[in-house]
Amino acid sequence: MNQAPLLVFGIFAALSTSWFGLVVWPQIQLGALKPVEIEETGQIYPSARSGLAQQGADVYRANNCAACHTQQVRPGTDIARGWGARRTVAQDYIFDSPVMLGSSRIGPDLANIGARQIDDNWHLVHLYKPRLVAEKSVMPSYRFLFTKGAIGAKPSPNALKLPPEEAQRFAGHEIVPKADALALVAYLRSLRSDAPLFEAPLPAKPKTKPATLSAPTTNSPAKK
Amino acid sequence: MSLSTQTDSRANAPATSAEIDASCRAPVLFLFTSAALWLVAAAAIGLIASLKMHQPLLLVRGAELTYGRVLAAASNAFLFGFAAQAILGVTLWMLSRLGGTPLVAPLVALLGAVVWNLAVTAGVGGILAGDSSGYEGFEFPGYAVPALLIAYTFIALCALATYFQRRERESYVSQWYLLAALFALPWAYLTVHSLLLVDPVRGVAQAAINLWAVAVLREIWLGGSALAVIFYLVPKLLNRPLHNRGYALLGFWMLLILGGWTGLYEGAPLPLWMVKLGGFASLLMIFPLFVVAWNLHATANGQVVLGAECRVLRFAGFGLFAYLTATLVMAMNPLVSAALQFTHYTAAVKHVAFYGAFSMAMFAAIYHIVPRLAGTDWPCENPMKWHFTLASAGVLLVALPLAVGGWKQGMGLLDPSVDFNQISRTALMPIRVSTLGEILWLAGSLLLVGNLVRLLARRFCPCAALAAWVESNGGAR
Repeated sequence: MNQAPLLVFGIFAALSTSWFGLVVWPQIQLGALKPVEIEETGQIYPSARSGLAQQGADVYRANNCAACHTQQVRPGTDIARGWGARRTVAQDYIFDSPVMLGSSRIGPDLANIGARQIDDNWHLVHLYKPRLVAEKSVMPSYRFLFTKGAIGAKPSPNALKLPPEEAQRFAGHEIVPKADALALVAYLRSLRSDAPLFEAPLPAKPKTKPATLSAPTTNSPAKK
Repeated sequence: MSLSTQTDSRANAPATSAEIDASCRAPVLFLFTSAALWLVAAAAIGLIASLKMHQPLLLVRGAELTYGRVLAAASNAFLFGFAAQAILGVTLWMLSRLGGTPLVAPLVALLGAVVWNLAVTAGVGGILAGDSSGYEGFEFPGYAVPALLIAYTFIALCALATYFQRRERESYVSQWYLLAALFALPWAYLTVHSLLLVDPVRGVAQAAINLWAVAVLREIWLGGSALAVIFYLVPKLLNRPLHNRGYALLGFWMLLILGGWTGLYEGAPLPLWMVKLGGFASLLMIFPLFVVAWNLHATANGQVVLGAECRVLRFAGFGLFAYLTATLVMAMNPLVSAALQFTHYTAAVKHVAFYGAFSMAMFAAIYHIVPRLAGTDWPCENPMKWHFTLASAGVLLVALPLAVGGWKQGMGLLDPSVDFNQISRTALMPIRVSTLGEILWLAGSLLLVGNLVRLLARRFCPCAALAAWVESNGGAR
């Protein structure tokens, strides 16, 4: 290794093995993935996000929500916990950019939050003050996404519907989500990867009607 | 730049240490001082993040200090503010010293270092302002990256030119690792910048690229640089020759080939072959680890490295053992990742690698190199001793509680009947303890800055500057 050019070339050659495997090859194998038609429903999956949800993805990125929330369902206990009907696969992410898989689960996985929790007001109240809807939650408050003001002659149609005891504390005032909060909720509502795919079918339910995708109404795991 | 090193090297006698140190003085002292300042900044921002983990209602009025942004700002300030500059400083000095040649174009390197600091400031500010790229480990917004890469090119070209002009024919293991690190960072960052930010590829190919780039940074850039320092200091301070060059070569090439594959984990939404190959590469990391450990063990030949009398060696020894521990635990990752992948356990292992192994090795290098450049010894040994105590306690107090908390979290997650909120709360007490560790680490980092400032002030205070300059050119050390 006393020949400098040889050493430099060797370093390039050695580094390029993993570069070829994990940078070039995924592009060859997955770069051309396109939305597919789901056999059971005839729908095209995945569909592109609405403009508002796309703006919400930007809010999610800017505040690094991925620091605490993953968006990936692994086979096994993740499914038992109610975080998804099936594991997530490459097909689920083709409209995401950046793809925010996340690497830490200080909060629950969000790959299917749009199927688990379909109440916009729940999401907004949760962002405003998580402990109002999730007891002793460790999630910080995102109150900078809201404005607080006196209720005028005409109350804002968007104002949060707070739980009664909290609403009393704010008597005469209303909490109104800013555009970013509404966009973020639209994004969260758009997160669901539960269409049955060829490479990731829904687990077969023994001898019942074809699996219907029921949407639990809370963020808490499905009760067994 | 002369490529014909072999013929030159016989003609040119190696430069004296004093000549070499004089050529490195300005850029390397600047890089080390600004690295230490960024270390303090990263530790302070990291402390806020740590506090917010168990005090979720702290500092929630502004978007700038929300947990996700603060966490990303701290890790990027650490990586590109502290780590990059410490590595570059070590690289410039070590390539010059081991090559027996003065640093080429030191003022170009200094200029690069100044621009680098501006780019990092823009990047960290951009993250807090909400412009994060969204790619873990590379959160700097796109507008900060070109300046960052240009500044890096300036410094790296000086380092390369110095290496190609070396007058010592025989190359040493530290030089290989430093050269690999010198290429690894811009390669990873350029890949991320061009394929994820400028013209993003589609879907999970992004995640594969991101995982690859993070693994390259961790294993080859940070890990390789730490090994370069350890392989330099351990034989030097123990006054023993390196046991076996062949084993060093073997460990080096294995790390380079395997390193980039180790970022994958079981269950990732990527093709199965990728995940399995990644897991296999992680397990194979045992071999370079063993080769490095055994080579250094034989080099030390029974002399104490961990807890040595010499303060610099003590830092290096802690770094070495943290490196071995973190690499061994990471190699076991495929076996435990089903339960522990997304928990605080992963954060604990990463903390040992970044803070216990890499940072401690860099501290050893800084404490070894700076007195040679300044031409004067540390004013007092005590702050160095305290820095070691605070830093090592800080690393352990973060890593051990997080590992325990992560384990509990992982066990809870395995049982779907346990409420998720409850699982997150079981980790609260360990996180509180880890905040204490972060405080100790911050105090240690402040001591490092204090030590540097005291030494430089004593050496280069305006009244004595002229006399000092003349004296140092005479070759004090």
